Amino acid sequence: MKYALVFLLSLLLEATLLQTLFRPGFVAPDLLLIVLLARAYLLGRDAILWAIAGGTFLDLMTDTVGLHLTTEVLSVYLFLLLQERLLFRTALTYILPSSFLLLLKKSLAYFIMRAKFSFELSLGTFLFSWAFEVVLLFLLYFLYIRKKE
Amino acid sequence: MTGKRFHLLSWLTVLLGTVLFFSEVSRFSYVRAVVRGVNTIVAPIIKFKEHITFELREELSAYLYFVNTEKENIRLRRKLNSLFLTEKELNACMSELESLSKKLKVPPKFKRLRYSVTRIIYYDPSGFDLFVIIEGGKDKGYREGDLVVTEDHVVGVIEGVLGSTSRVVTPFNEKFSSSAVAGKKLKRYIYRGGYPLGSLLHVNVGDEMSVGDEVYMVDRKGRIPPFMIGKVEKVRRGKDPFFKEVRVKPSVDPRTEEYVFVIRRRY
Repeated sequence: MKYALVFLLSLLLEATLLQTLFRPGFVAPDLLLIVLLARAYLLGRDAILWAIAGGTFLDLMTDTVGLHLTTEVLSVYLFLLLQERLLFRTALTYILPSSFLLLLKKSLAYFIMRAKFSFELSLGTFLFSWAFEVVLLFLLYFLYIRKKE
Repeated sequence: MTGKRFHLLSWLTVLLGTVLFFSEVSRFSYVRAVVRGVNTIVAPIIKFKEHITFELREELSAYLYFVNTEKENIRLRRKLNSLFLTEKELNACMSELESLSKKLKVPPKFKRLRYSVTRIIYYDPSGFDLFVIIEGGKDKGYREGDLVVTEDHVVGVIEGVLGSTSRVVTPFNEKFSSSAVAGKKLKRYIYRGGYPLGSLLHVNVGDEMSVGDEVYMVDRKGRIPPFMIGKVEKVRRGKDPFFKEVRVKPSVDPRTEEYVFVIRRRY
């Protein structure tokens, strides 16, 4: 129940605030994916269902049917595969793969959008958004996940 | 979730997402209706956010405006102080000059100009800048023929005086004519206004005149210092075999001026 609320809140924040502050929208810090990765780290494979729901709703809210579904599910799936192969659970085994996957998700979204639309993207905005996500990852890990483990 | 089901579900979802995105399925009417339905949930939040953003932007621009005004005030205050200083220096020079004139028993040739500062309140709507309207008229004691200048350029001559405004004809106006000097020799000519170029009348064929020469308005009685009218733009042989046709581009742009000096002809 608690997670459902956080999930809903991050979904709304992502669709209303972040994706309108950053242009183009897909380059915005992916709060939803960060929440999903935390879920995947703590509870494992069930998180893929949350990713499917999150991606679908985000697509419907931002009118990009299919884009977020693909990228969110793929990111959570790859994260779970990586996590299952790692022997230790430390800050690094959470933050490093998560940071890499957030960057991968952003790049993938960029290439998918590029294949269909023509737009301008500033590298500075892209990197700033990613750096912001990494900071959020750190905060989430040290303020929440570490206490839960 | 078992291994096989997990992998299958993940890949199928990724595949489905990709197909949905590239197949433009969102353009179908029934999908559009679903999207619109979900959007109604977020629409009030987006509107609220837009409202907050708009308000913030307004407040920020007002704040920046006040900051800029404050800076401009400081700059102007400094400039005013330096001008006061210059005025004092000028007064000292004038008194020194007067005392020198007295000692040398040379009567001072010039009198102090009587002028007032005013501002332009209306421009010629035709775009030809043939006239401007300045603040002040009979109430300030302006008269027809008073000269309107900036620091060094002629803006025009007062043509009509009303109760609290005056109409000034600019050097672009054909009604504007004045005594003027140009070129290396200080020979006097008549400048007649015109748009876009005015002209110098009665320039003899033998007079030296070249493009770029500055044309100054001169007072017949020598009481008003020379103010620039413009620069010679074209010099060619005129229809009359004895005179050159000299065209002058007025240097003033009335639309860029705001505050001007009105120099009184009468003392």
